[in-house]
Amino acid sequence: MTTSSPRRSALLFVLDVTGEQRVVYRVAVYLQDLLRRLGAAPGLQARARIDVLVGDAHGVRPTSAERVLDEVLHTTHQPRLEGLRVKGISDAAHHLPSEGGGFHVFVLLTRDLFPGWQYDVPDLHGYVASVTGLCCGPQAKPETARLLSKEPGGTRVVNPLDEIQKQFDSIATWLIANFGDPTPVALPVVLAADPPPLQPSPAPARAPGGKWRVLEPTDRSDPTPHEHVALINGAPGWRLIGASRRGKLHANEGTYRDDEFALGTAPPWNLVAIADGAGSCRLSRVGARVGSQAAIDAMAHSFTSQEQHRTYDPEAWLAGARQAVLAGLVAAHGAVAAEADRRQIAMHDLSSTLLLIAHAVLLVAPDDRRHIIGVAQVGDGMICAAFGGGEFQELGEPLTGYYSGETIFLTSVAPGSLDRYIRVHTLTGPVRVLAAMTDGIADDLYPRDKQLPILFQAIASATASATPDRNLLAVIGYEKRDSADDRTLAVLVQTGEEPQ
Amino acid sequence: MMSMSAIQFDETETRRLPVYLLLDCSGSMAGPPIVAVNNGVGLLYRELLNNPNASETVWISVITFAKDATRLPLTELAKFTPPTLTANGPTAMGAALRELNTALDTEVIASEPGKRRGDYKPLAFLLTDGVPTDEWKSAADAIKARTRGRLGTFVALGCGDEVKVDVLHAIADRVLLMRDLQGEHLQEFFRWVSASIKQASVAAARMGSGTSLTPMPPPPPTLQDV
Repeated sequence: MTTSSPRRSALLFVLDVTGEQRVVYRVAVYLQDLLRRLGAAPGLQARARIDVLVGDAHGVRPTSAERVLDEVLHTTHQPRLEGLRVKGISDAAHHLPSEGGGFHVFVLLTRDLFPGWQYDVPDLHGYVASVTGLCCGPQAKPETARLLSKEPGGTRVVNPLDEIQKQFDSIATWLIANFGDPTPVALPVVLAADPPPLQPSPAPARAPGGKWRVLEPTDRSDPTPHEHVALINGAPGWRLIGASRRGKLHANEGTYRDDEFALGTAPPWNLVAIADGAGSCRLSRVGARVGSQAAIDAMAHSFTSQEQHRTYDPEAWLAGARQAVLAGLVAAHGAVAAEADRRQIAMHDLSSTLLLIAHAVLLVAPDDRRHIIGVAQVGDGMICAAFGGGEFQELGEPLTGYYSGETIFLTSVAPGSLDRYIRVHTLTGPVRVLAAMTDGIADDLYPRDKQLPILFQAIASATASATPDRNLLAVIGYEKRDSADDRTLAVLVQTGEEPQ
Repeated sequence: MMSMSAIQFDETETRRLPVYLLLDCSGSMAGPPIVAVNNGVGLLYRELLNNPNASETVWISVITFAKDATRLPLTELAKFTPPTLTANGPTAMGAALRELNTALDTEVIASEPGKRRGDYKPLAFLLTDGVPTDEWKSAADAIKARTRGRLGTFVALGCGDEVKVDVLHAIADRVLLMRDLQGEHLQEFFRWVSASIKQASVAAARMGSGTSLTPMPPPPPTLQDV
């Protein structure tokens, strides 16, 4: 059942198919969308009839919303010598039935018009209520579109082509507001007065895709703050700072941060744990939290019960570091298994990576200072030492596959094999910073030799400031295309000069 | 003093999710079917472009096959233009599979620890309404046997009564059937492809390694999962 009003307007969409094929195709695709929107708008059909035409130098012919793309596919194989003929538009308007209301014409230009078009404009303008000239793509001239246009539609310059959707959306909004609703509203953005200069469209700096949204999770179970920072004093002369933030991807999806970190100390040892929950697992954030905290507690417990601190034997210290880090991994594995048990879910649902650092400075002799470091790396991400001389050393071995995003998780390793992921190091150089980071940051640091100095410069500035934790969080808030993961960075920094 | 949030990173290296579309353009696809495929590719393109994550990571390559196979190189979504496909000739599906194999060897980038991160696991979708008219088994076997540069998943959609399910199973990891090729149903297929790619572009960011297939949403009810 439709209620028809005595007077209907006629909306006439004319697609110029003479332009570059890729331009015509794109315009047709968006035109089809626009027509679908209009078709679905309540009340619009009662007030306006929609006609769709495709046109070239030979004239225009009627088509429909469903067939317009088809028409384009079948008519743009041959290169066109001449542009769209304006007379064809007025002829078509004259032949179409009037519904009592005015004709509103939308001409989607993809190249310059057929020569002599200026002489045909007065007839068109005399017959129809408005003409909106859309100038699509580099071959269409804004000046032509402007002269072809008749208010209130005005001219729109759609260049670069990525603007098409925006312009078409605004046209759809305008039409729906005017014809789907009895009260006319103000015109949307019209570029009639001062069209921007036409320039060859450069490659867009970023993909012209949909906008990233920032959504709150609707599932409020196991709530996790979108940001987490922490700062503790470690062994004398050292400070531990951590920062973690939700990535664009989780914000866009309205899900929680899956990364987590934990810091600890058992003088002379400094302890760091970071974990990156598997995006595909529902409660990986819980696994990341439980695992990282359990690892810190177990490492601290292991060191306080060790005896090697009574010696100055670097080998004994290294063995102690290995033992503590292994205790950390085993405890994390056990804690995650217990959590899965408690919740009656599969351990897989709590999948996360786990990266650990245990660090102490051993003074073997007055002029022989050694950094004793044990690390574990189960999964991707990076553990790295930065030296005073501007050099870097990766301390863990990221387990990554052939492709990006392929990694392993703590939960997929048998407890008996965990020792395979441990490395111990004795560093004698001037270690300034030890850092552990999840792949949300580590994957942005390619090539390493170029990107690591940039990151560590920023870490140095942040950690030397009055609010090192907040500033570290700001450091990892950088914008980078295709970098949308959660980001976590935990650092161990020297607070002063090395004691003599 | 440098601004805390001012780290500038090199934008030249991006992580790509390669997507291969293998499209049957043989004579039997002429008329409404090829128009429906063209519409479908356009739909897929728009849907992906409107998803921020997909628009930053998805790269598309279209491999068409008829008398022989033609491969358009992997192109980032922002620079991709849906091709205009026409239908005519036999069904050189074997040639298309060989092109896919070549692409996986030459286009897809592997991770190099410390030097560069690789692409995400590529996805491939094949659409056909017939049976191969050339030798296809060796190429299909080669794709299945890959150890380096494996596909995340390979989905085949068979349309109409001519398709042979066992052939499609020998080629793809997952086979869907559409008994008669209707534009509307094909749109649903492409909408599902788009949803699968979007999901992969999110899940790809985190996937256990190994041979497990890329997870996908359930296909539309108009398609038979065989």
